[in-house]
Amino acid sequence: MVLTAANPLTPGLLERYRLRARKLLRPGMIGAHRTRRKGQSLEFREFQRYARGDDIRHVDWRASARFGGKDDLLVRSFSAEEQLTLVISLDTRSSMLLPEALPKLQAALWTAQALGTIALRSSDRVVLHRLFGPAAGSVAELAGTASASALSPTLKRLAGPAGGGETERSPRPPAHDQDPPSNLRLLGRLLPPAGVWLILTDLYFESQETVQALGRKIAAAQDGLRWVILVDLDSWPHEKALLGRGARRIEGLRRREDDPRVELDEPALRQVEERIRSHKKRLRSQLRRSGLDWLHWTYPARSQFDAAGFFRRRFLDDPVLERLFMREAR
Amino acid sequence: MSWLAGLMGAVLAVMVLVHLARPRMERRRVSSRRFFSELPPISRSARRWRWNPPPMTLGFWLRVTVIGLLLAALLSLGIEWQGGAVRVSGLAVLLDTSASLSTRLPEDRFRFQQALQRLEDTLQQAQQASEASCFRLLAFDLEVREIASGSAPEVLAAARGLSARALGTDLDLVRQSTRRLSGGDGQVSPPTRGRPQQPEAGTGRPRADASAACPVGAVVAISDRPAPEWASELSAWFDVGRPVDNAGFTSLSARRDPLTGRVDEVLVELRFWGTPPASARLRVQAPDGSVPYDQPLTWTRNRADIRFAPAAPGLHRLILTPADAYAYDNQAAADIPPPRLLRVDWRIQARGVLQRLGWEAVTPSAEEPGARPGSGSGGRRPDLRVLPIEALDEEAGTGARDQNSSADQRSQADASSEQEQDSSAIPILYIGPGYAPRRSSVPPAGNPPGSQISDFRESSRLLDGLNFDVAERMGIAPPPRPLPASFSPVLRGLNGTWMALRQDPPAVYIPGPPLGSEDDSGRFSTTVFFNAVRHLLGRRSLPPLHTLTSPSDPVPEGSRLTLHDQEGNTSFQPRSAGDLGDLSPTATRAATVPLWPALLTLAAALFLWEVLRRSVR
Repeated sequence: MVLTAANPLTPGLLERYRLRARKLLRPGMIGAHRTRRKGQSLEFREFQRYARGDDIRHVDWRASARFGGKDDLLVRSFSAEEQLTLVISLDTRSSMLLPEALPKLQAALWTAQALGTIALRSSDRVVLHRLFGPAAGSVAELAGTASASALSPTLKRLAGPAGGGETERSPRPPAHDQDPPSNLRLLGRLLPPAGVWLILTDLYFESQETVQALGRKIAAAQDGLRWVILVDLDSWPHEKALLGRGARRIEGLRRREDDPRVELDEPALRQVEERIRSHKKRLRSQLRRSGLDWLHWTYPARSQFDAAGFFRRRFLDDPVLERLFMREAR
Repeated sequence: MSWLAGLMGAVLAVMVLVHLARPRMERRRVSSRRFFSELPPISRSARRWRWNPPPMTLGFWLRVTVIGLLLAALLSLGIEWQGGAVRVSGLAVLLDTSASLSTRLPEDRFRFQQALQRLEDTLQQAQQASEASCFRLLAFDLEVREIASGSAPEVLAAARGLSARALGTDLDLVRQSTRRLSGGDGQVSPPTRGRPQQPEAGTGRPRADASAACPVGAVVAISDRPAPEWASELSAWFDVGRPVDNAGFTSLSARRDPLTGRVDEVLVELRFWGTPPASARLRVQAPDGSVPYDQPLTWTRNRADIRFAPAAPGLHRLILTPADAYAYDNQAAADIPPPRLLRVDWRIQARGVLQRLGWEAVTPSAEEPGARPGSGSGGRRPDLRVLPIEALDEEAGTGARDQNSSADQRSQADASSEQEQDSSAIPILYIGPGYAPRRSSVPPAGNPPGSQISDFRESSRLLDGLNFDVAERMGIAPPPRPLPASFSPVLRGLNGTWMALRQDPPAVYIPGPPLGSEDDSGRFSTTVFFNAVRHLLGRRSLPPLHTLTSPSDPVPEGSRLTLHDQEGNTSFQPRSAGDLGDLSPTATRAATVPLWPALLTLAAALFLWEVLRRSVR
C-alpha cells in the first residue's frame, strides 16, 4: 500500500483555516483539558461559566453562590505560559490500510499533516507517535516553523514498512489476529500537562489487552488535564456498499487461505454491521471518560466516492478540531 | 496423435466443468474482514451457470442491436435491394452481320456498307446531342458478340473491321440481348450461343470490362430485316434493306429406300424474290464429273421443285445460274452416301430367307450378349437383329442373374449391362413359332377356336395390306410364353398374341418368317415380315445430305451450306422503328446494391454511439 497521495488540504487552504480559527474565541469555559496559554499554572486568570467537561475541582463554590445565576457555576481559570504540545498517535495496523478508495491510514496521515503544519506554524510542539509496532523510531518530536518541512517525511517513515507499518509485502502475520505491541508507554514523558493527544484509529482492535492499555493511558492523560481527542475512522458504510450482494470472498490486506467465503445478503450484512457496532460499543464503554472528545468520521455509503473531497469536507467542517486553534477568551 | 488430442480435449472439458461448478466468487478487500467469520455458507444459486437476466438498459439494447445487425449482414451476403436510381448514358449498337448483309445492291454496294453508314450517322447524332458518354458495339447473327466499347471513333474503327458472315439471323437472341442491355445487366453472354466470346482484334478494351465501363441507357439495332413487332423495346431499329431481285436454293432433301437408306432421288427446292429470273438454269455436277441434271428452271409462282437421281455416291454440286444479288444461295451441295447392304444379325433357323433377301449377315462383337463366334462376317454393328422369341427368355434370365450377382461382380455386370443397352438400341425383330397354314378357305368342323382373330389395333401400320381371312387360316400359334408387359399387342387371336410392338427398346414380335410360297400364305407371311422390318428401320437416323454453317463453323465448305431460313429473302419492304432525332441515350435505371454494407454501416454507427455514450458517462 503506497500512501503517497497529495494532501487535499493545500498549504494555502490550511493557512486560511488557521486564520479563520484564530478569529474565533473558544466557546465556553475550559474543562479538564487545557490549550495554549491556558494551563495548570498558579496564576489566576478569570472566572468563567462552567461548561461541560470542565474539571469540577475548579468550581469556586463561593463565587458561584454569590455571582452565579440560578443554575450557573463559576470555575476559576488559570493562565499557562507554556507551549501547546500536540501529540498525534497513528494507528498503523493492517486494517487501517483499507479500503482502497481511501485507506484509513491515508486519512489519518492527511489529518496529522494538516494539524501538524498548523501547529508548527503557530510555534507549537508536535509529537508524532505510532500507536503500534516496534518501539524504535515510533516517536518523532517536531518544534518550530522550520520543522514543517520534516513533517511529511516523518509521517511516511512512521506509516511505511521501515517504520513498522504493515503493507502487502510485510511478513505474514500470525494465524490468529493479534494486535502488534503498543507503544503507549512511550507517551509518558512526551505528553505534558495541558497538551493535546489526538488518536487516529478505526478501533478494530483485536485483543482486549490493547483496549485496556489504551483506556488506562487515556485516563492517565485526562488526569493530567490533557485534552484527548479520538477520531474514529469508520469505513463500514462504504465497505458495505462495496461488498454488494452475492457470493463473496472477503479479503483483508492480503489474500489468505482462511478468507471467509460468504453469501452476502441483507441479513448477513446486518449481522456484520451488528458485530461492528457491538465491538465499538464495548470499546466506547471502556474508553469513554468525561472530557474525551470522540469524533466519528463516517465514510460515504457509496462504493465509489471522491476521497479528497470527502476528507476535505470532513476535516474543515469538524468543530472540535477547529477549536484546537481558536483564541482563548480572556 | 489423435488420441492425445482427444485426451487433452477431455481434460479441458473436465476443467471447464469443474470451473463452472465452482461458485462464481467475487473478491472484495475490506478492512472489516475479521467480522465476517461464521456467516451462512454459499448457496447453490451462486454457480457460474446461473442465469442472470441482463439489465434492460439502453446500452444493453444497443449491443443486442449491433450483434443482430452483424448477423443479418452475414446472412444477407447474396441479397440485393433496390437502392434508388442511377443515370446511365451509354449507347449500345447491335449490328447485323448475317449472310444477307452480303447482298449486293444495284449501285454496286453491299448492304453491310449501308449498315456501316447508318452506324456512323447514329454515332454522330449521339455525339452531337452530347448525351452519350460511351458507346458499345455488338454484332449479331446466330450469336451476339461484344465487339468494342469506348468512344465513337473507337467503335467505328472496330465496326469497319467487321464483315458479313455466312450465318443466319436469330432475332430471338437479339431480343434477349436487348432486354439484358436495357435492364442494366450489361452482359450479353447468357444468350450468346456457340463459341465463347473472344477479344476482337483491334478493339481497345477487353470485353469483360465493357458492361462495367459503359452502362447502357439506349439500344439501337441496325439490320436488313424489317423492324420486328417488339422493336419498341429498343430505342431505334434501323432497317437498311431494300428489295432486290434474287433467286436461290431454299432446301435440299432426299428420297431414300426405306430398308437400306439408299438415296434414290434428291429433291431440290428453289425460290425467287422480286422479278422472276428469265434464264435461270440448274446444273448438277456429280463427283465423277458427269452432269446428271442440267436444265432451265420453270417457276410455278415463285418456286421450282427439281428432282434428280444421283449418278454415284459423293458430293454433288448444284449451281444456279446466272449469279444474282445474293451469292450464298446460288450454290448448294448434296453429299450422297455410298450404298450398302442391310446388315442383319440373323439368329433364326430360316437362313434361306436371308439368302433370298440378299442382306448381309453380321455378328455382333464377342462382348455382346448372345454372340456366337463364327456365324458369319462379324464385328460390325447390325442395322437389325432377327431373333427367335426364346431369346426374350434369355434376356429376362440375364436380367435376373444380374440382379442376383454378388457385389464383387457388380462392376463386371454393370459393364455388361452397358453393352447390352448399347446393343438393345438396335431394333429387334422377334420371330414366333411359325405358321401352319391350311389350304382350304373353309375351316373344317372341330377346328380349335384359337385360330380366329380376337382383336387388333386398327391404326397400326404393321397391319398394312394384311388379309385377316388369310390370317385365320395361317394356323398362327401364340408365343410359348406370354410376352412381357412392355409389348403391346397389335393383332391377337383367341389363342393369344400374334403380333406385338415394343417402343423402347424398339422391337416387334411376328408369328414367323416369310414362308416363301407364292400363295396367300406366302404373301401374308412376307407382308407381315416386311411391315415389321419397315417399322423398325424407319426410325434409323441417316446421314444428312448437307449441314448448315454455325458460329463454330461459319465458313461454307463442301456440303456445309448457308441456306439459313429467310437469309435469301431479299424482298422485305424496309421498315424501321424510331428515329435518330428520338435517340436519347440517357436513361434512369433502378440500381440494385448489396444489402450487407448498409447493415454493417448501421452496426458500426450504433457501436460507436454506445462506446461514446459509455465514455461520456
